[in-house]
Amino acid sequence: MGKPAYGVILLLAGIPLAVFGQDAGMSQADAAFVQALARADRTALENLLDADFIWIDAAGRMQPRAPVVREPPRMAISSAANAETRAYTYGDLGNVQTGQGRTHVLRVWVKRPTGWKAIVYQEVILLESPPSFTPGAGKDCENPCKTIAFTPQNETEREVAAAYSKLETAAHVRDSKGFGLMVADEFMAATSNSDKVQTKRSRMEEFDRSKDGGLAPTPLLNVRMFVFGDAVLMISEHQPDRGNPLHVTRLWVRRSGNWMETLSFQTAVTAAGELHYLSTDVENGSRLYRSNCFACHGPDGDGIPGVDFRRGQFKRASSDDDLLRVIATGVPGTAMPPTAVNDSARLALVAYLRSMHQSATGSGDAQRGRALFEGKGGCVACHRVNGNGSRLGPDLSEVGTIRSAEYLERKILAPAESILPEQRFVRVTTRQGTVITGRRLNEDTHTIQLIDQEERLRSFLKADLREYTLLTTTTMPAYRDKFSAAELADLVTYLLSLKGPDSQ
Amino acid sequence: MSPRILILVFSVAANLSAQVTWDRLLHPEREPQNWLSYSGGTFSQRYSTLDQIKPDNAKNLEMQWVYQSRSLEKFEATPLVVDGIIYLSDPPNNVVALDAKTGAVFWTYDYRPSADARVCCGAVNRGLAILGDTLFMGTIDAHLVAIDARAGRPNWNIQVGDPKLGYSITHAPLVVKDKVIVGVAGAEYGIRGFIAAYDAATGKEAWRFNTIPGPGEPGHETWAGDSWEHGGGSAWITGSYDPSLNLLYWGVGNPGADWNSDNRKGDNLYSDCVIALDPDTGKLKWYFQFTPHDEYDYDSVQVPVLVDGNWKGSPRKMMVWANRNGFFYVLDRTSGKFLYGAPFTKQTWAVGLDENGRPIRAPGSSPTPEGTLIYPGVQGGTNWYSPSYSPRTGLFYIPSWQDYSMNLAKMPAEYNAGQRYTGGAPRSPTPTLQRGPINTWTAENGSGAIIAVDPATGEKKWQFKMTDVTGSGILTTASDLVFTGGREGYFYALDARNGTMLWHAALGGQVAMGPVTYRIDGRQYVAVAAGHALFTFALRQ
Repeated sequence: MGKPAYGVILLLAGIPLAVFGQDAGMSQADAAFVQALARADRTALENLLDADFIWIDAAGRMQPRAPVVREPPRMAISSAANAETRAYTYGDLGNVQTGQGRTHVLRVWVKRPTGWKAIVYQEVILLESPPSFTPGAGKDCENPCKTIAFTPQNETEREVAAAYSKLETAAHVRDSKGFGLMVADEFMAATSNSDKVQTKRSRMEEFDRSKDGGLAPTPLLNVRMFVFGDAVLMISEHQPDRGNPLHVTRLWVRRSGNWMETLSFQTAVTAAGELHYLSTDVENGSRLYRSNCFACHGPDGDGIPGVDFRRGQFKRASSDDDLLRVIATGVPGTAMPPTAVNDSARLALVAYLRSMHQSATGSGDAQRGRALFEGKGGCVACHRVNGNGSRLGPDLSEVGTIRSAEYLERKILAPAESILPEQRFVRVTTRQGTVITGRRLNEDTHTIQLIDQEERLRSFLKADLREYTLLTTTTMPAYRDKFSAAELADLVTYLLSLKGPDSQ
Repeated sequence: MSPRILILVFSVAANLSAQVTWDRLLHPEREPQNWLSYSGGTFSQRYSTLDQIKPDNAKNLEMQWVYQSRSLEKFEATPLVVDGIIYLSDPPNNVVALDAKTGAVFWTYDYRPSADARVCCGAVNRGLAILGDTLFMGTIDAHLVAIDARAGRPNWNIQVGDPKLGYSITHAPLVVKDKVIVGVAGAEYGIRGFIAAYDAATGKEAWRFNTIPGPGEPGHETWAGDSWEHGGGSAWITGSYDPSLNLLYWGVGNPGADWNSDNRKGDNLYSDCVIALDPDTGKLKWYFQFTPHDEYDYDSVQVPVLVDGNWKGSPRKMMVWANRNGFFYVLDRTSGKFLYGAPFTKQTWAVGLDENGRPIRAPGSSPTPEGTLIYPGVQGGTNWYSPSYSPRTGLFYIPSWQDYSMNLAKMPAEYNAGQRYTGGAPRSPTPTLQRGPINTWTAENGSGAIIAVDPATGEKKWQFKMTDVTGSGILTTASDLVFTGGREGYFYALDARNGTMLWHAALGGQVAMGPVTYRIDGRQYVAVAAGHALFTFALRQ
């Protein structure tokens, strides 16, 4: 890109005032994107979002492509009325910036073989009044002025990283001339740590006045770069010395051999993130539930009037944080005591309570499901329920207390997708050459125990084996084509009803 | 009877009723038949010059006697062996005196800790100290008790910290000159940590060093706002002492809240440091911080191992340290200067160390509510389990956890007196403090390994892998043996030169302490606790 081919669209009150050779394809794509979001048109979004797409809302919550397509979020600026829009393209990289009052929205576009795709959607809401302090790198700007945590993968990335460090150094020492040489004329910066949008000129004037306007260098935590010839998209996270972490999107272009920054959008992370539960949390939680909660709340979580875990019904809690608190402190004046467990256990309990809600009781018929389990499905050839069936596969007598409907369904349809460690099969070959396969029961440095195909308990010294292999396959067939949807629902409902011989 | 044995018998007899003077504690090499302090000497090398059990006869080891503990708590104590008598704490805080030859009990002392005691990770005790005729024990309700070694009855008992606020003592005290030194545990309850020295005769406090500096104390500026008040920095493992420098070294634990560091911006000194103190005054001489602004619970509560040797061609007084954060360090123990550091296990929280040994944090490695995957997991690349240094092989032996991770969820942290104050949940496929009888691990769990490192180069000379991780300490001997155990309940004799397994015994319960060796009547014994019992081995006669 010898000569920068960038164009500008300036829209005021929805009317384009000036158009300078903008890329029509990008503009069309952007209009389609806005429309698709407004109509929650998932198919259109599917087409318009790049594989690397991220959505950063005004509170700094970041979402990748999949959840955005599944549940299209609302845009901070929904109508073009009173919005000012500017658009720039630099070869295969471009952006559209919209401003409306304190709200600013950035959309970054990349040109792929299949057309223009959105790669970043980002919201910034400016402060109402000037900040009381400016989060930055602190007194010494080690990171990002001297070093940053980034390993460039190519020469361009190395150059841009160096230019970035140099630019932040200039900002840190308020060197307006040095700064001016490294930002493009169309430079625009919006940050949730300031009450004003900054341009190249306003920024330089501020440096000359030796005042900082909310754009101090902030230590960089991590960065990703996307290189498109002479244009580079830089997405990073920063942790200032004070205040919240920031998501920052920057664009760099090469002009006359120098890398120049054309925009910087900075969104502070003010939203509390949401706890994300692992399947092991649910499992641990089910054990903890049995020993701490079962006696009063019961196997179905509805033992206390007004509280029903399966229906997500609580008296004094709605958020996960509320639940965590109630578990720790109990409810004074009621029979609910404080539960003296650590944070990991509390988290596991909440994970289990939430999974109870998700799993509900199934939408099928448990009796029909049982018939399928024992008949058509042939499940008892490997599985055991309350003393009946084979011992080779996992015993399912209590499966309804630890698994959700969704989990069971996936397991039946595609059992090979994930195999729990305790359900792994092992193949051992003795010195004499006998091969024995079975479910691994236990193992240590010198021995291994298994239940073999004849349901015998076997133990081997590893030193006596020619080889032993932990298998990554499962003998369970996939039932994807064997059951109708109704049959699957019946089977899952039956499994969910299994809560162990003790609870019958 | 040969003249050599005669002399031996004579020396044992001469010591039989002798007091354990400070001079004897300073020179454990003069009496390898005993194990007089937690780490076997002020340099904490856990190295014995006994050499009757050798690589070529280790296969003849056989069990001599077993002492069954009355407690079902985890057995983490290193026994003391003093002139034929074993002094041992039964967790949490009972004490027994045993005949080291037969396991027969001389006396028991039962201490009942206050019901206010709260401990994050087990009602445990790691051992005793002795000076003169007096044993010293820290208790889980944060008392320090002096017990007459012959009568088995207390001389004095003082309160060190408030158990209602989570203060406790779990490690073996250290005697330096006429003082008994202890640190407190409880960072998971938001304590403000300290190390304190007490007059061995009276229990009167001689000095106290706050591991979390308050207003006016240097280092206070590394804590935002009032976060220092509950800044943790516990010190729950025994320190070391160098008489030539008159310096006391101690490892300091994690800052509080463990995993939610929002309100404690800054380096959070002296959490995760090794500190060098003047043992007479408690004044700080230097510090080195392994993990500034820790967000992982990477306590630096490892035993400082002191090594005199050559560093890049010139003699140097060094300290070698395998840290919970996954890095191995060599420091100059005169000044605290960083000499060398490199990972000894998989770690992802730092991209490396800078020239001063300060870690360079990896991008995206902070805990988040959604969960962040971090190596090593919460128990670290190693933990408090004693490593060993053999001056014969010149190797440093580390009980390590390899390829071990956690998914760390950040949670709200609110301080409530006496309640847990951790701000997060580390989830790991690997059980942390205990294991059940079943192991169905995959590569995801990681594994245990004894690794032998050359401190001069950081080079890993050999490793002995175990399926499960290990919480066992290590003992080395002058016959080039490594004795150690693991969580699976095996007890091993390895060749210290190459890691070859020479002998092992299945003891049926996890080894979670450091084995010791001693000699009676010319016969070398090795003692190790597994499960809830102490086992002793000697060569078949």
